[in-house]
Amino acid sequence: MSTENQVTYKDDHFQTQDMTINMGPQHPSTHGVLRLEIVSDGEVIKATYPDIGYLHRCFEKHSENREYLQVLPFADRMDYLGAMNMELGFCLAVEKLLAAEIPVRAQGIRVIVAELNRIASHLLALGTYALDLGGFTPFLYAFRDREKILRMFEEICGARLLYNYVRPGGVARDLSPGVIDQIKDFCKYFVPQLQEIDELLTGNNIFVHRTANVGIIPLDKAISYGFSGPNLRGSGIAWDLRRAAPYSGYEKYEFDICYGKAEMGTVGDCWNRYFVRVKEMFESIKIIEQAVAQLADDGHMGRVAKSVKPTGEIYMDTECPRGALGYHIVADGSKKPYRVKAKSPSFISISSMDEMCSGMMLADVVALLGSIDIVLGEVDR
Amino acid sequence: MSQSGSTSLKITFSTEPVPPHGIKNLDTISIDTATPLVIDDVAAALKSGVGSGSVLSVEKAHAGSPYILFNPADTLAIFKFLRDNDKIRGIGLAVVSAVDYLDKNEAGEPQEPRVELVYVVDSFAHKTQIMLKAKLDRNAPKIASIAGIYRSANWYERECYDMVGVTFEGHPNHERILLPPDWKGHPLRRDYEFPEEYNGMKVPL
Repeated sequence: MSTENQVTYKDDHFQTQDMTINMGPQHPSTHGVLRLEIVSDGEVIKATYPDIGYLHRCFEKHSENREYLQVLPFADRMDYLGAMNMELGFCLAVEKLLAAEIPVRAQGIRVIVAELNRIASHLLALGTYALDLGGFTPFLYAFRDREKILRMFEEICGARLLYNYVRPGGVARDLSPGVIDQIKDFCKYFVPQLQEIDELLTGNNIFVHRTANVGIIPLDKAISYGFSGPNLRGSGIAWDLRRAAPYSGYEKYEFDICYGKAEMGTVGDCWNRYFVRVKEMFESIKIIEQAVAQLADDGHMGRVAKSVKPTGEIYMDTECPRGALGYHIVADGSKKPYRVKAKSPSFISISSMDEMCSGMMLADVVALLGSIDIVLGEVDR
Repeated sequence: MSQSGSTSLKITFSTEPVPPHGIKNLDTISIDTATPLVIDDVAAALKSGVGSGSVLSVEKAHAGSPYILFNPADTLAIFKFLRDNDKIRGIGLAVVSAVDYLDKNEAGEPQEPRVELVYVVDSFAHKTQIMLKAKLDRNAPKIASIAGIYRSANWYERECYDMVGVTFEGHPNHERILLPPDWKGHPLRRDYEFPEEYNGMKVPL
């Protein structure tokens, strides 16, 4: 046997190279203009570098140059899927500085619209999440029901997405009796529909395989990263600002705090975060039904001037669909706020991408991004 | 936010592991039995645990959130203490925010020129948010980075640097985050002047 044809292999022949993949900014699964630079070794991710700022619209700088009432439309445009909650947080902080008294009816209306908005936002999160993972039907079901909520919002305040409805002192317009009936009907209609979506998706074998045990973030890391809302609860802690620091009369309503219990997969994975949102919608319906039943009739607007001039400094956060959205407001007694800083929950969810993605398969990034439910308008502000 | 892939890898996000964090006994946190903390008690604990010079004053006369004014020299010791102390258990960091003050206020009255850095620490076990504040020199605002204590501080501090121009010493990745890396100035400074153009593009006002 001759040795002439034998090839001697050196280490160089087997050298592999890391590949850098660009995901976004125009990618349907990034839910907005987010760019991820992914360094991968074959299919396995080694590092992820989120690149944000594409949608930066200077909310904080604009707020310095506007009166308090004029800040509200800008707040709407941060998280455009949960705009009622964005306004509510800002108004509550300003009202706390003013020590204003809000009529009980206005508080009830705020709770109703905030919870309806939470359902609409979770429906969108759920529908697009299924779509990202290849399930088309839940998307149509979710958007059909979300449409009903948006129709009601149109009737309440004239807008479908950016409401400018919650104002310092109360809400802009009262609920008409017709809308209250619509809300009652919706609560009756929605529970079976949600059960249907739940049955369709939650236990679906393919869905469970794509989401369970994927993108696990343990509770201690979730807290260290500053997670809040459904993402924090998905990691297995019963923590909800509506219970911990009740605002707008949430202490009057009975509801359960839903958190990840690992019916499938592990606590803190994508499936648990998804299921927290599903369960939360049932609780929101419970809150709306109670709020409608307890609606007082002492007016929708308190005695607060249109051009308010508060003094002081406050940090206040509220439970928004995507987590705790906080406003740090410095008020110097003039018509305009001296400084408004918005703490965004999605911003902090993205900051953990690198750690969560490491060691994950490339296709699971989409599952992870959908499960932390980011809105880029709120990340970049 | 650079154009080519390879260069931005160096500047975006650090993969350095954060040292072990003192988040423990999480199963003892209960939203129903938690008792809120009083800010004076936190200040007293800081004085005895970190040093009497660490707390400059406790401000609670104004409307809104009371806060502790602390000595920037003790930043690292203070936040480590707040996180690891078994009574306070400030295991989460809700926000880091920076506010710029010129030598004159909006009404034209003289005031102390400064940059105020505001930290809000979350104590889940006590359902309490503790606001802490440091006053920095406006011309060269500088403070130690707490990204090694709270992971969330990493991006919050980058945002404060980007918007107000505070330098965080020891930050693993001290770069701009929302604005492009070649942007000039820090927009949330009160004396910021808007540029007329950026890289040959007209900036709409």
